[in-house]
Amino acid sequence: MRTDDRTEEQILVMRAQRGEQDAFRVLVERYQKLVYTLALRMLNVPADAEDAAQEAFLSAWKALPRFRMDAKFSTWLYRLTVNAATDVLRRRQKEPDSFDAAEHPVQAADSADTPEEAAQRAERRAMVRRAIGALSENHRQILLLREVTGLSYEEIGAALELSLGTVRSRLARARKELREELLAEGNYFDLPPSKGEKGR
Amino acid sequence: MSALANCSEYWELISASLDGVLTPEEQEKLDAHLSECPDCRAMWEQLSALEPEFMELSEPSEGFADRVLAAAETLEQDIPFTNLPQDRKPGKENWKRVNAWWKPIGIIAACCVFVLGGGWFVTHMWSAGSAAPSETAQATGKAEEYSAAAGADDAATLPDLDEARPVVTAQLTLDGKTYVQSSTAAELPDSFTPEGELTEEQAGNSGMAGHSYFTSPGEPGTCWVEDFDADGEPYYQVWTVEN
Repeated sequence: MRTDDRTEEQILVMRAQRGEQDAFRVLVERYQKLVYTLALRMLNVPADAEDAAQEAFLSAWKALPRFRMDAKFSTWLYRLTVNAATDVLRRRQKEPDSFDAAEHPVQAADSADTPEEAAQRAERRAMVRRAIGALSENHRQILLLREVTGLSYEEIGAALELSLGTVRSRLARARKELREELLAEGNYFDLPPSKGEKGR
Repeated sequence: MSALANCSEYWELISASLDGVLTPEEQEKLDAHLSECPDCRAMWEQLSALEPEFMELSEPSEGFADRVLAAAETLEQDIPFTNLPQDRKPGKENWKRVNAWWKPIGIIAACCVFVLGGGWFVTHMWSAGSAAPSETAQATGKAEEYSAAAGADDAATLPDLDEARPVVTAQLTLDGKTYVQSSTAAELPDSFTPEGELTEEQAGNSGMAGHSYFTSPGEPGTCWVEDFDADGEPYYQVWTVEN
């Protein structure tokens, strides 16, 4: 394989595989928002999400020399993130007193909003976060992989070792469960919708 | 036909339509159903309204990348088993990684550094030791430069990664014999029985100390070593006596 057959990212990955920290830094900076957001949506606590995100990057750094280039680096990294966040969740279950969701309100909304809009946005967001937190582990993982990182069905299948058919049906069940959680919580679907998206 | 209980086959279509992966036939089928089933339409509308909630990305706190890199510096990377070229830049963890013939040089250098109390020798030693022609180009790499290299025009300025460089071969030593890895396998054959865990001495530079290893009387010169992939799933490395 000649150099110009490789994508820029593959070259970065190969350099990081050889221990070049500068190359790894570019990968960290490129993926930190997605990795952190994925962990934050799973854990809801910024400090825990940073720990999990750091753990995911360090696992990647350590295992990079054995990473096979036939997989996509990002897909592999998201899988490591899901694993790291799942570890935090399991530790929490073992020490239930260590986590109290009420102590961790979601962040306030944009400063550009009026106070009413900001309050409503924050309320809607909090409801969705709670509903995601109430999903079963499998459903939460697959839904966040799809919605936060935008992975394709094929990539999700590769990351979670699932068939395409399972990815499709599990995503459908996850969304159904999420909707049921939100309906049970009350007025989510009656509040005015959030303003549009912010960059992905 | 509006009871949701009768509509389960459409849930999957609704979900897949949000992801934009329906075939035209499926989309047609779903559209026809949504036009006559208010419950499924409500579900579709509600799930669609949810999509923007996911899209907002959060940022880790300031200095996150610096902290990751600082922590990475203290971590030794796993050793690859494919004889990947090892053209590492100097770093405190690199001593353990370089081939055995470096070690005497390293020890002498460490003594000299101690005696001279200066960094000059380290610099000199590494520049003398790095025979790879592209070392200079790589060592000057900065994050920004790597980023800038995204353009196709810049590809030509990237060093050729296939140039000859010193190669480290991972080795095990068992009963005085040197083993190199030949392949990996998912399952351990029944004929192989556990011998215990590899000691530091046996594991040598392989990074496999503490891993269980297995041999078979019927296959002398072959040793299987248990390892775990990035997902924690076990697999086996097959090591054979070096010829």
